[in-house]
Amino acid sequence: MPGRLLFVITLLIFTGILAGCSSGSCDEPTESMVNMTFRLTDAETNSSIDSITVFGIGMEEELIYDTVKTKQISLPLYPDANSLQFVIRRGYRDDTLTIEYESEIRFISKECGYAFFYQVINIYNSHNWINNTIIINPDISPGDEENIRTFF
Amino acid sequence: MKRISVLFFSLFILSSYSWSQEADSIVAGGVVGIGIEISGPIIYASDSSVLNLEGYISYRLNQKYYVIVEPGIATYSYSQYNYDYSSGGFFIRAGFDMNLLKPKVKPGNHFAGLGVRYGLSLFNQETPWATSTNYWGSYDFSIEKRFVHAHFIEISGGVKAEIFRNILIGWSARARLLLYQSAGKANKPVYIPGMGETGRGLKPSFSYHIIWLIPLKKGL
Repeated sequence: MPGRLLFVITLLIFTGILAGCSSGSCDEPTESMVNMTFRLTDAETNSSIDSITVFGIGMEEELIYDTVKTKQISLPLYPDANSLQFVIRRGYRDDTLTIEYESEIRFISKECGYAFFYQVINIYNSHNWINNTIIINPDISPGDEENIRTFF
Repeated sequence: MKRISVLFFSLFILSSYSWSQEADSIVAGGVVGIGIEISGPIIYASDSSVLNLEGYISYRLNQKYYVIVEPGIATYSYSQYNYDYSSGGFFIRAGFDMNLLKPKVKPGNHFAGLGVRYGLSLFNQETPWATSTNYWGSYDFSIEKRFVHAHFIEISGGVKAEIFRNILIGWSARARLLLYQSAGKANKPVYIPGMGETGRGLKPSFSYHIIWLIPLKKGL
């Protein structure tokens, strides 16, 4: 009986060990981006917006979005800055969006390494086609949860 | 790595075979065991990124229960495309083993059973380089060396066999669960001395020991 009992116990431990083995690759999202949605000023729900082009000021040659129709865009932040500006172009009209933020580093996992998380402190925008932008959730983390909402 | 696996498998077979060939025995208290864990230095010979040096001290309370203390030191280094990491320090695990063998005939020192330990690890960790790259470019940073303490529990199952008079060899399979670490979410350790690599859930491990028994009373 002790031999059988020990065999069962050892088998359980080995099973647990195999179940706990690491996959060896990073399976989690690691980049935190500001998720921005759009809404008509008097509407109650978010809407798609046509022909959106987005790029960072100072990065005009590299477009984040190029003439897309979308309900949500994601804006990347830089860990070594606390304020960034983006051009949000709709058709032929440009508005500038300024995001002020704080960054925090976190360790994700051995396979993924470190990632930066952010806290949006303030946002400003010009008013060529954008009426107003508000903060919905200031905690910027990997994922597609809505962070700021633009009314137009 | 293949030769190491063959060596450990052979030790596993030898230790399991040895105790299974003798009758279960009466095991009395008052015996101290002193030993070392041998897989750590062997693994270091083929993989110098982790060095684990571990001792083993036991006191046999009676035929069933043992008090166990396992002190040690460990160092660890890891490097991949987006960060380098190192940690090193001291640890101690203390707890009890329970022998599942039922004593029958004559004094003997075989063991087949389960164990539970509480672990404490005191170590430094450092990230001398890391990088983050996105649309805006690459940002290189580092995290300075910091002292960390960590607490964990361990359960184990294993076998020890007496191959010569008062000399035992044995192996155990172990699973460890981290209870607390003082570095916080931002700087979670990659490796905790005495526990191993961190992550979600139970962390598995194997140990192989050579132990010298010292009877404190005559006739044991």
